[in-house]
Amino acid sequence: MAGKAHIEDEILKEGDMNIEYQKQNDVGILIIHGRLDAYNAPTLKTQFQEYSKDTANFVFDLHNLDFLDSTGLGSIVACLKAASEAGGDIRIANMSEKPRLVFQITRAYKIFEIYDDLETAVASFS
Amino acid sequence: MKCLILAREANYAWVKNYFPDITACLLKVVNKPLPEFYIDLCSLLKIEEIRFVTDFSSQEIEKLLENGDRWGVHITYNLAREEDTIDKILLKNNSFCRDCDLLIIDDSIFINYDKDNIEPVISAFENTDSFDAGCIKFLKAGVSMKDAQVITPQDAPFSYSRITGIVEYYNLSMDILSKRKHCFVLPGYIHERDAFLGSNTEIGRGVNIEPPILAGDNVRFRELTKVGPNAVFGDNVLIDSQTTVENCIIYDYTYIGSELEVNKMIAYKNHLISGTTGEMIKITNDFLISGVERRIILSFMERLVQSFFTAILIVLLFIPYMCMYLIKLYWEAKYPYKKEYFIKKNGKIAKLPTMSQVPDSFFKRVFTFFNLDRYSLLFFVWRGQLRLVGNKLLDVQPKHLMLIKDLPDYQPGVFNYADTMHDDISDYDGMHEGFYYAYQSFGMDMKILFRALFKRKS
Repeated sequence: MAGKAHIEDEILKEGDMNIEYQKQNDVGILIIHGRLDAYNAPTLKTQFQEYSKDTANFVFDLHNLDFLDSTGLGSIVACLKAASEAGGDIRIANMSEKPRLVFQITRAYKIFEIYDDLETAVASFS
Repeated sequence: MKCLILAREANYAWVKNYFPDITACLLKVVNKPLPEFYIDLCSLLKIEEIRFVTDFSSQEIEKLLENGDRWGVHITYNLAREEDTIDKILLKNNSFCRDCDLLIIDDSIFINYDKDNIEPVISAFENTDSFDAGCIKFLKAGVSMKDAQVITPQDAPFSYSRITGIVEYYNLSMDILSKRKHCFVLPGYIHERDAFLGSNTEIGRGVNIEPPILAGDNVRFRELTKVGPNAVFGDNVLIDSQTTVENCIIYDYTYIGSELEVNKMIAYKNHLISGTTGEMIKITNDFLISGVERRIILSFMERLVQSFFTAILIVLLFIPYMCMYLIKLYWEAKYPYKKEYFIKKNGKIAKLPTMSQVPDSFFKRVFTFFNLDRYSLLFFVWRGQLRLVGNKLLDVQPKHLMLIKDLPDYQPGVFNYADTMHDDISDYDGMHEGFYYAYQSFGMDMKILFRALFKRKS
C-alpha cells in the first residue's frame, strides 16, 4: 500500500501526463500515463471533448497512471458526466494501487464500473 | 485454486450499531479479525492467490493484511458497487478469476473447519464439481456461476455460521473459546492450559484464572480478580481488584472497576452489551471507561498549535484589517453579514460572518487577497468552534448535511484543502473533503495553510 507520507508529499507537485487514444468495437480507450492532478486535469477534459465527438462509450485504462489527486479524479467525473449526457458511459480498467486508493477515499468507486482488465471492460459495453 | 472474498457493507450493518469505531468487516472473533480466519483457511487449502472485493473502502483491511506475505499468500484488492451481483463481480475481476478453480466467500460468515483435520476438505474440493452453497461457492476453471450446482450449505466441504447480529456473534465467540479453540490458530504470546495470553500480561496477587481465557497485549488483572471461564480480553485492558469476569468479551482499551461481577456481557468502551439479548446500556459513571485520555491529550496539543498560528495571523492581519475596516462596516450594513454554517458532524449550526453576498469589486478582491474576509473567523478558532485548517465550511443546505453525515469526520476550518485547489468541482463536493480526511496530518495542514494564504482560490 502506498504510504500516506509519500502521497502527501506528492499532493501539491506538478508533472507530466500523456494520453494514448485507441478505438476498439466503437469503444474509445484512453490510456493515461503519468500524473493526473490539478495541473493536468484541464488537458484531460479538453482532449476528452475531442474524443467524444468520435464515440460515447469509453474505457479509461489507468495502469500507467502514477499519481491521481482529487482534482484529477474530478476531471474523470466531469468526463463521466459529459459521456452520460451523450448517452454513453466511462468504465475504468487496470487500476493500479495509487489511483485505487484515491477512488477508495473519495468513494468514487460508487459511481464508476471498475474492471481488472481492459478486454473485459471493453467487452462489457457489448 | 484462488479465493475471492466479497465483503459487502450491508452484511456488516449491525456491527456499526454496537461498535461504531470498528471497521465492520475486521470484527474480531476471539481476538482475531474475521478475514484472518479466511486467510488461515486458504493457507491450509494451499490457496496462494486471494482477492478481497469490497463495496466500501478497504483501506483498513489493506493496512491489516497488506499483501499477505505473513501468511505466504498473495492478496490483492478491488472495489465493487453495492448493487453488483456475483456475476458482475466475477466479470469485473475476470483477470483474477479466469482459468483457475475459484473458491468464493460471500457474506459475513465464520467458516467451521479444524486445522488438524483439513485433508478431507482438500480431497472434497478435488473431487467436487462447481457448486453454489449460498455464502460459499466453488467454480471449476472455465465454469460460470449459472452452471454451478446449487447445494445446501450442509453438503459443502465445510459448514459455516452466518454472523447476522450481536447475539450470534457472542454465541459464536463463546462456542469457539469453550469447545473449538483447538480447531483454529488463536492469537497469544503464551499458551498454557487453555489460557492464551498476550505479551505484557500482569497478574496480581490471588488472581484466579479459570480457563479457557484469551487475553491480548497489556492486560492487567489486579489482585483477587477472577477471570474466566470463557473470557476474551482485547489489548490494553485493566480489570480492577476483586472483580469477576466470566463468559464475557472485553474490548480493547477498557477498564472494569473493582468489586464487580460481569457475566455474559460484551464490554466496549463505555457500553455494556448483553450477550444473550443484545441489549446495550451506556455507562455514564466511571466504573467502566475507555482509554480516551490519550486522545484528549493529542487533541489538546493540536489545539495549542492551531491557536499559536491563529494568534500570529491575527496580529499580522490586524493592520490591513483596520485599514479596510470602514469598507467592511459599509458592506455589513448593506449586505447580509452572517450566514448559517454546519460546524460539527452532528449537524450543529453556527452563524458565521461571511462576505459571500458582497458583489465582486476592486475592494472585495483586495480584501480576499489579504484573507481579510477570514479575519473574523480566526476568533472562532480561539473559541474552539472552528479549526484553523480543516474541512470546507458548508452552509446550511440539506445536500451539505447529507455530505457531512457521509464523511468519516467533519471538522471545518477557516482555511481548507478545497481553497488550494484551482478547479471547478461542484457536483461531487465530497471528493476534496474525503481526500483531506484521508491524508490529513500536521504537515499537510501547514502546506494547506501557506498555500491558502498565498495562492488562495478567490
